[in-house]
Amino acid sequence: MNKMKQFLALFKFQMTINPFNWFMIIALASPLLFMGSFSSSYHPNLSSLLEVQNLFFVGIIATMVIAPEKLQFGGATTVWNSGTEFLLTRAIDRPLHYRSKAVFLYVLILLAPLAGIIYSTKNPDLKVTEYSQSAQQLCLSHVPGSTLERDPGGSSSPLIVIPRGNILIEEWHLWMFLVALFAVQALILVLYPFKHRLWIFWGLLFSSIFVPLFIDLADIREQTPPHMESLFFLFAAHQAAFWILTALTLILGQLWCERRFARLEQ
Amino acid sequence: MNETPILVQNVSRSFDGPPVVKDLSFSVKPGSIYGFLGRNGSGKTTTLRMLAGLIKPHAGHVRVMGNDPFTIGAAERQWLGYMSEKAVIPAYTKVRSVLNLGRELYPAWDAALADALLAKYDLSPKKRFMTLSQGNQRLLGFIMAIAPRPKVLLLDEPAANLDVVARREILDDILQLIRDCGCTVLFSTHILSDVERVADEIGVLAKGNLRVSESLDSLKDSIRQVRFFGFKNGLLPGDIPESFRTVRGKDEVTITLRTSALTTPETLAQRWSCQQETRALSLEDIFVELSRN
Repeated sequence: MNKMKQFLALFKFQMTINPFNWFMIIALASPLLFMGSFSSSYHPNLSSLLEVQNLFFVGIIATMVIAPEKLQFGGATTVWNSGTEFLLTRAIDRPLHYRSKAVFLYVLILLAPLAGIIYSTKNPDLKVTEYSQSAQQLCLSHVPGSTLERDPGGSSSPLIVIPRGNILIEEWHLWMFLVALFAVQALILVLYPFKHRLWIFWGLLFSSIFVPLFIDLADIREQTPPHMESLFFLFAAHQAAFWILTALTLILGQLWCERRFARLEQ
Repeated sequence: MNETPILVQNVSRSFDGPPVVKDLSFSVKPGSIYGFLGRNGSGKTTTLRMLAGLIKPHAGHVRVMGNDPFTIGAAERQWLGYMSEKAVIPAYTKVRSVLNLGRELYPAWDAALADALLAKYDLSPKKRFMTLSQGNQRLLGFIMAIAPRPKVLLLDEPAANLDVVARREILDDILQLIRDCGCTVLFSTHILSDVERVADEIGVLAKGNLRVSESLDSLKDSIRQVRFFGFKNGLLPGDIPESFRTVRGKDEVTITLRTSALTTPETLAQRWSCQQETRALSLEDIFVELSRN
């Protein structure tokens, strides 16, 4: 059987494994809808726009879909999402099984930020209050077309105006989702050989909720442009390079992941 | 089928503790049905999972049709059917989706057989896996293992949770499959009557060690329980030959042993100057004797 047919059969099966997986899109999209950029052209805080609170869900969904069953609360008697033992004992090539899972995962998780990008084209420009002067300067020097504007509300801090900024923010979210998706798979593979992998992995995943909070606290103490904003300005300045590098890393990284996953025991 | 379809050689395997399977070796002849017996935790499932390519041995090697099952691809897996002891099919999946997957993955998928078994077991294709009874979940697992017309079929507790009728039907289907295509079957079970009904050979596993691996007839013919009593000097013998189980009483000794041309109850009784009483054992007796020692 040719590999493409095999892949399509596995991918189709993957899509029907658990209809509730599709509800995850809502869980992923809702914070973007409420906090994201496409609902309004003015935002009071750039940092809150950049932080994706629901990256944690990406980790959960990725684990449910792609992790070996031993990382999915091993004692469970019912298989809800993975079906790996069943599929690996069918007439398939093991790496293709993981490829179909990874592609399904990317489709499932990227639908929300992709929808965000499309929706943000309706209201592309962004105005945002920025208190940090160093951040203002960084934005002006890195984000093409960005300008400062007096706040009509009378605030002493100016507004940063970024043409097509809302689209840029949604692209940033998409990039963050991609990085998170790959990072979770890499984390699973790195931790899998450890005896207490279940505790370490889930401990790290849950603690990742608090990471942005600690970064914010550190940024306040250091009186420098917030790390997330600095990275975002860099992303805005070198978008093409970011995307090419990301695409290359993901393609090579996913090939590495599927081979490593295929070598794991179930 | 020239090569040994199933070969297990000096295999050991542990899971963060003492070995579950220790230096296990056996093979299954082409076209035969091998019944794998053992108590809970004896290592049956671990052995089957190694043969299915889900886990690797820590020592020794397993081969299915001459290949390492952990590394084989789709082409080689066409002829390997496997049914897990657990409900491994995802809960929300519909029976129809599961069968469609089989049809798409296996060029030799026998749709007529799958449909016939579906009708026979009264399984609705519209139902989701989790809504099936435990027995029907196992039957679907069995259909998925048998419909690709495999050359080697591995069944882990195929009859667990099934009523007597369904169990009989599964066993009949296994026999039919072998009649049709000379498939080699390895199945694990606790149900001794199933083994007696279909198996050509059996292996009894106890605490990870294979106690016997031979044909059912040979096993029944050679293993005897012998009670030695009436020792002339009143002393129980010290030179007891290798046995499966020895129970010493006050003035008698009961030994479960394999008889051979050299070791017969009569020769032992003569050597020890005593009387003997020999009892042929049922398969259940043999299993209990081999497993509990």
